[in-house]
Amino acid sequence: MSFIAILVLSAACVGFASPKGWSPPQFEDGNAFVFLDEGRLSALAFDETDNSRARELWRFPNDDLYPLEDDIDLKAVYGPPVFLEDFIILAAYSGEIVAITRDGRYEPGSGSWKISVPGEIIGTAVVAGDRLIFATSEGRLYVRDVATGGGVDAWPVNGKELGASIWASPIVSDGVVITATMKGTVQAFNLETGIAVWDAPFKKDSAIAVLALINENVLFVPGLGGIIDFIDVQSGQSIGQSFETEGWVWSAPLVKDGILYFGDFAGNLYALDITKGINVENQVWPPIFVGGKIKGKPVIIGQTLVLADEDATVHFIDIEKGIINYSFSLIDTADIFASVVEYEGFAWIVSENGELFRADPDMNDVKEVSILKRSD
Amino acid sequence: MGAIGDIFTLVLLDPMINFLIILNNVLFDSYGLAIIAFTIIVRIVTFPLTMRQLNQTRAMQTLQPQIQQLQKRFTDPKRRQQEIMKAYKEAGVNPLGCLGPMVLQFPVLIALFYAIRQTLAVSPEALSNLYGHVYDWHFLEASVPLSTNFLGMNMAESNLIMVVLVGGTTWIQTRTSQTVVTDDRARAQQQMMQWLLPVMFMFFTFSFPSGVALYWVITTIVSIAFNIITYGLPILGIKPMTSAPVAQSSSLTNNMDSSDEASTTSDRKPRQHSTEARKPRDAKNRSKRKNRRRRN
Repeated sequence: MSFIAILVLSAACVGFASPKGWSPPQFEDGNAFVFLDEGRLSALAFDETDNSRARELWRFPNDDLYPLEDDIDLKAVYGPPVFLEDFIILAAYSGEIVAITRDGRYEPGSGSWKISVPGEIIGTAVVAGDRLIFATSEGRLYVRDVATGGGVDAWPVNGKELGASIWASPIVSDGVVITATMKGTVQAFNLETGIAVWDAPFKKDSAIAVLALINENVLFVPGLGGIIDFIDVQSGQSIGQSFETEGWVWSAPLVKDGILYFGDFAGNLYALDITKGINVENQVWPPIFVGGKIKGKPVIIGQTLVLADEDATVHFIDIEKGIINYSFSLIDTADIFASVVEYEGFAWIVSENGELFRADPDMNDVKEVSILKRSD
Repeated sequence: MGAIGDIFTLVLLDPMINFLIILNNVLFDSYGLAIIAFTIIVRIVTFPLTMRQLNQTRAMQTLQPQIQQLQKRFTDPKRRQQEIMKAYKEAGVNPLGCLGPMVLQFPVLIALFYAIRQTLAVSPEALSNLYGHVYDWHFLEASVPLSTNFLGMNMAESNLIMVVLVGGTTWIQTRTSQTVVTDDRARAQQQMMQWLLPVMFMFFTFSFPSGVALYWVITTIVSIAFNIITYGLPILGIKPMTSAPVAQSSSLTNNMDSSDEASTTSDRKPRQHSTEARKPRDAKNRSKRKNRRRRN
């Protein structure tokens, strides 16, 4: 009996869903930035004539070549890197936040810095002016100095305790930082003073893993219970509308031309017309079932919405007719959780293993980017 | 394999995951209490199977001296096997009898282990995976992710105290399941297992979330209790609370006495069995002899 138990346990050792991250690809200065395993960031330069081919410029951390990066262990990264004039800021699942140079090096003498906080960072770090805002699974909201990573006036260095785990990326709007917890609360604080802006936190009965502004006045607040609430940014009160989905919603919506597009874990894509205000009855077309779990945000190129589901199938959807034009299954590809990103007329998709794909909506084609890796 | 996996998920894993979430909600949003209650409930439900297995194992062990003698007595492997099987049959013991209950309860234990692992949702990916297992009932979906704090521990992470507890309880369980063995090789093997198992489990626990370790500690404590019920605890003077199903084992003696092949007078040593058990069979033999005399 015990031997069989050991076999099961040893098999299970391998099977734990370890964090891999789901940061979407980023494009900056003509280069692509993709996270690989263990939160390593890879910078890619495209071939001048063919952007389905690239070569790796650098990789961070790279302790083989740079001993200073030896003790940096990011584990996984869930939000895209933040590009500043001289630095790139990475906020990682390990609780480390690192400012590296634009050429991908951690050089403390050149202004790089590194801080570590308790808990995991699952959302994105946000920069507003000279402040860096991020939150942790320990339930703390941090506001730090973006130039040094140090504390700032009015905000505790150890973060503001919000009472429950925070997975959603904070949002900054008009000097107010808004954040949501996995206990279903949404709170807003003045970025300068740290004082709560709303009379009381907004509260719903399920975990909030993502939060998004859909216009200057309204917050999109989905919950893992399948109910999306819309709340007024000024007051923190519900605007009296809620939308029920079949599955969990764990992605920010795409807002384009007054239409709100978002997917759920049941594999449905919804389109809500908000041109005349929020009215959940105003669905542009009935939900489109794509088959796989939708975790990432879609993108629209021309009249085609490009969406990748968790099963690594890319869907090209006609937004006028509300039908799937074409679906392309990526064989032997890891799960896709990251949002799709538009760059140079293509949709770019990254798998959880860091495989980069280029989708061409004109040709209904998806191609894996061939990457010439660095020898080191 | 896919179909088996689907059935396993549908019939065992998913109901367990959802039941675990319900228990968490009922038990003050304490996932630790939910794991403890859940483990105990599952062990109680599988109690008849466990006891059957333990009793069969105990009966097999009780028969070992007789089996060893049969092995020495019969040189022909075929005949030896026949006699051993006959002995098992007459003692009311099925050599594979302890396997049946184990095979039946093992999927349940695996499902229990996986249910705890899934509901712990140790990473965002794990929480995403949990979606497919939680029933489409709002009160269940609204409960996830479960709070993983219990007695100051984060049950999604490994914990040294739990590692020690796993080692300690596994050691005690190994001790309480050990019975007297006469064979030197078996005794050496038993002593090795007594230390090897706890060390191996401790090693695994280092890389496990402590919620899984908590399950292991509780299930091991329950196993210790079952072992004490079955085997007793001589060191504390506790006797077994159940009787092993070997009352008919005395028939072995007659069985062996009546076998004329390779049987010598010197082989006929006293057997280890109770006189109470022997009486009915001896009476039956006397009656047979009497009848034979009458016929003659």
